[in-house]
Amino acid sequence: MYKATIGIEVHAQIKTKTKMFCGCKVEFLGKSNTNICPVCMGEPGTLPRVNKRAVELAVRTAIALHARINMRSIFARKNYFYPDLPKGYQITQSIPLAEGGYVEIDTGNGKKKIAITRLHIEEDAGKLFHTAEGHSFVDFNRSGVPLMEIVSEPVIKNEKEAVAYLKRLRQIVRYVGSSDADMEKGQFRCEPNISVSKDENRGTKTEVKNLNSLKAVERAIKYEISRQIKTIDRGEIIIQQTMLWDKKRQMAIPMRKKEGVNEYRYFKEPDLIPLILNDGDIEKQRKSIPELPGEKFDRLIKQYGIKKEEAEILVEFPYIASFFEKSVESGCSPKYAIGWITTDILGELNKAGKKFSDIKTGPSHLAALNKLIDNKTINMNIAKNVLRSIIFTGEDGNDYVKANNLAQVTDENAIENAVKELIEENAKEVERYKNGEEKLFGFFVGQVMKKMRGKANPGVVNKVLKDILNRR
Amino acid sequence: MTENELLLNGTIGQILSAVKGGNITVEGTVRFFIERIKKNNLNTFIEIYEEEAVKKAREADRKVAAGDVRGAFFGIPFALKDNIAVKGHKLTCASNMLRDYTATYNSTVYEKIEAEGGILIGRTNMDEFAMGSSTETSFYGSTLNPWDRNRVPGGSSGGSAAAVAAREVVFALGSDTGGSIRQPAAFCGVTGLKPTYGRVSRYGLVAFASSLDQIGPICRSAEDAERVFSVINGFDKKDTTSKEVEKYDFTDYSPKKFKVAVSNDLNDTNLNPDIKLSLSNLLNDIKRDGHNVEGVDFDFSKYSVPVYQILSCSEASSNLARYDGIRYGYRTEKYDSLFDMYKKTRGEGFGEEVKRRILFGTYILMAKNSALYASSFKVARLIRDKLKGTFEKYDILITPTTFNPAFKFGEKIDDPIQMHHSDALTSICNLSGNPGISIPAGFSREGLPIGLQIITKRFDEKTMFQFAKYLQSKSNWHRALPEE
Repeated sequence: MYKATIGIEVHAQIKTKTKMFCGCKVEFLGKSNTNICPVCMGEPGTLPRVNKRAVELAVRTAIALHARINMRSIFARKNYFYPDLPKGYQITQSIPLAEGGYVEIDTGNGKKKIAITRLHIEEDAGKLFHTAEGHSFVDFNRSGVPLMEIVSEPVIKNEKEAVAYLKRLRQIVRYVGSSDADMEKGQFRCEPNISVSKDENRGTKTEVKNLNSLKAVERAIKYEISRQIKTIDRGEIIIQQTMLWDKKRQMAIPMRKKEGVNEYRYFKEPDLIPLILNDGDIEKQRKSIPELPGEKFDRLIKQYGIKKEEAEILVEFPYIASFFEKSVESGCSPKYAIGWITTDILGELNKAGKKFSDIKTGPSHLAALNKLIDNKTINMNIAKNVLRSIIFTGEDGNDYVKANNLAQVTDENAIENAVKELIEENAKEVERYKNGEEKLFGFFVGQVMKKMRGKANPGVVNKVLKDILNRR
Repeated sequence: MTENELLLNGTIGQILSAVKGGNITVEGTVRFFIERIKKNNLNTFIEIYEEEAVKKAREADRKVAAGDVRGAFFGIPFALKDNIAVKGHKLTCASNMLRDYTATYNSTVYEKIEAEGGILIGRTNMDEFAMGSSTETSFYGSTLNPWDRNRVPGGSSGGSAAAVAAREVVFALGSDTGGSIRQPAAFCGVTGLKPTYGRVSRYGLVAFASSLDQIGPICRSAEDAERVFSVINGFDKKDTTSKEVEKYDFTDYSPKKFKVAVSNDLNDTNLNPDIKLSLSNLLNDIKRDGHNVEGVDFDFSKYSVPVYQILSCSEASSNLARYDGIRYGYRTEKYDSLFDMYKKTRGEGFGEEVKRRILFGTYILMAKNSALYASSFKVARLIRDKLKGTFEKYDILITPTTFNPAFKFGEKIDDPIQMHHSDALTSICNLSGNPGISIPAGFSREGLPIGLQIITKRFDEKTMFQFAKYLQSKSNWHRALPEE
């Protein structure tokens, strides 16, 4: 039986206005080579200077990861030649900003702490473009954009855990405001390394790059585990290499080897002094940390009695969580609120292809609907219909019910009339019911509701129906 | 003093007064020096900014007429080593690699001098990327030593030192990584300062070895050097390795008794006997003046060269990686792949010495050699600690600046080991971060200048200048001019 071992390196773009070592603007899809200066272009004689904000945000992230922050971290150079690397080296860190720490995930089978090896700051490279005519161009707008590299220990067992870890990590950097972590924009780049083994020894690992979504991460890990197992079963050996995920073919393809990539000649960056932090710097960041996703997840379940899957949705989308909690605060029951939000509102948004911010109903609308149910003005089905109708108008639920004459009928006489009508029209079925076919009761209820356009109070319908049938 | 005497041997202060008093014009001053550059023909300058300098001089003269004279260097012509950036001007580092490169921004030191009214008259010759001790590695050919045109001016700031010595400019800036200001200053008979590491912003200095490089002045006297230093020093947020210490201000000389340590390099058998004699005489004078002079035992010079080579070349191999033909600078014409382009561009763009150092540094930085790199750091640390201990007891440490006076062209260029040994006594300060100044201290039998190196504790340029000014108050070596 094979066991897989997975470690993941994440490069998260730190959310700053300017670059890591110069004052150039950080902008996604800006016009090529407009956000550049002598420093990020590696002009002779220029020197880097550290973006304080980037350090603060990295510290904040490290705290959220429960990592041990190094009061003195050291910048280093990673030397290699490539056209997108203006200085011929990347500034990274040899003594990282933080070490240790963990991200707690819910495996569906209990909790698990995924250990973090380190978090360090580094700069991004530019981007290469190749034309059909065989020309290559470099855009240096991204050159020097601040990144946090977050490396996990190889303690992840399968693709599900990997995705749970990445999801939680992405939530953390978003919660603390250190990264937008949009994978499609390359702001959260995941590079899993994967090995398989039949015993306690670790097998040879491969690394997979070019994963632009969590779906891709999941598929790539699954693919790579199965490829490695098949390879070993064929009696071949695993080659340590970097693979590129090919989204179209849904497979990982070995990357073409670059010359001399293995000898990076790391050494201390002599243009930058050690990065020294003090307790005050760290305390300041600690204070700005909000409730973290893991804490929120536990609290939502405990406080509102909602399901894990529901809590997961709220944790992933804090604005929905806030909407939910405000609805409850306004007087809506958590059970109704979570149902209406996750099925009716999200369902309607999905159908309409709209965003959560497009909805016009607020938490008070939900509370009002809840009240209409409580005072028996409408039933749940009507409530759902009302909600779906007013999502994009923001109309008052009460008004809508009145205007459309949807108020529930509780008048026993009206319901009796409908029941009597039903019995006359369905003499055979009544006969069968009386002969013991009790499941027909539901059919009768449905028919009565239909006759009353869904507005009858289900409790009253049940009572009246039972009374009349029994009397016969 | 005649105008000629003033321009040839006046201090910055004296020339400034004459300009302010309307006794001389700035344009006349600028033209005087530019004419000398052309007439001397020592290959001190890679480019003279004649038109621009004259234009600025005329503006300055108009200001004089309007009574609007401001700045510590108002109307004073100066030169920059060709590895210090001035926006819109070429910045070649005397290399084929950058012969067509134009700086896109200003160095901090240039902005500071410009703000004080200094008039830049050109960029001076140097060893390619400041790697060398003779200016012989310059893509533009060697600079000649004004004292003997068959000899090297030293290096790498040979153009700046020779230009000041030949009175082609009032002062010049150089850069010093292992002695590149002090050694040519000694060879050319001028005063050259390598400030404490972190005193002067390196922003705009093309890096050779970032942790050792410092910009410093090359001047006619210690007084002038102090004037220039007091303008260019100070913390710069663009250079985080510059130190946030109080800005240095010029201080008048006030006599005091110094505790002087003399390194036993003075007894080294490799030391040129003329240098030994000159310095011994000088030390006797100092003793006679009542200063406390004691010999101290150092063996720094045994270790400084290899350690310096390891650290400087390692950093250089990384610092010079940016010259890849992609964004600026030289690019080879024919190539069939990216890496072929890199190889040819760098193979053709760099000279022999630069390539030798890049290769050496690349080798040292490889993971398998990390112990060598790490132990070099340790030795540098030991040197620093030993110097620190010395300055707990003494104000001043004296060494010869070099073991020999200026050598002849071709004498060492094919022997890198010999050439690298030129840095033995000066590189100590770069490894430790201490300031060092070389001042003229006599002449050899052949009439070649001899340099004395004064070292003080880190950030104590004040004591250094006080001592240098004391020595120059009782000697005339710094006023001697080469024959023309």
